[in-house]
Amino acid sequence: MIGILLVTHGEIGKSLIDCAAHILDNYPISVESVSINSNDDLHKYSDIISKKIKNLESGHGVLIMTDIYGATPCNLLNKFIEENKVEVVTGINLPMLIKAISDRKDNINTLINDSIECAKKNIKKI
Amino acid sequence: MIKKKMKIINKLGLHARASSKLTQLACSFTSEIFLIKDKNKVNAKSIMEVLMLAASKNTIILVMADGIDEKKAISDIETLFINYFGEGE
Repeated sequence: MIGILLVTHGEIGKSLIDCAAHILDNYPISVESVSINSNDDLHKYSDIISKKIKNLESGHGVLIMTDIYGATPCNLLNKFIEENKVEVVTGINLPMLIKAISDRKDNINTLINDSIECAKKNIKKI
Repeated sequence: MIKKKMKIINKLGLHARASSKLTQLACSFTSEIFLIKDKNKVNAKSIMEVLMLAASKNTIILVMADGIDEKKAISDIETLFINYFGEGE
């Protein structure tokens, strides 16, 4: 199973996981998060993120989701990217996370494309 | 292939948790299962597709199942609709 890690400003990631778990009820979630506080020493986060990636890696890769492209959590992730193994997507929203959890493919690039498509599709003017 | 119209009778309609229950039930069958509302046809095994129907109370959904367990799939899904998706109202 592809691992999913949320690296976000503050508690956004944890809250998204809580909401997804509530909606998906008994469905196995298996997602971890790292909450970034930019006032902290940012070096400590590299170790935390590195350990989380190792824990989540089961041979199919790890997909990291973050919130704002170009912001601190996103910039911290650049060094972890390994093509087809550890990939990063930005602009996380709840539909993106639920899609990734509930339709977790074994191909990381398919999962990325489906998740991004779902995230975009759910931004609508009503 | 079996088709059956089902009415959403629970107060909150086909909201996120109800959609999740429906999706998890649909995934327990090997048959292909689709939901149709107006001109929208979605895969009943994908929660995010089901949610795109934005189906509220009293909406009629056409449920289609195609496969070896289609009869039980339609029957169990209908029971879920009738039981208010397990929500009591």
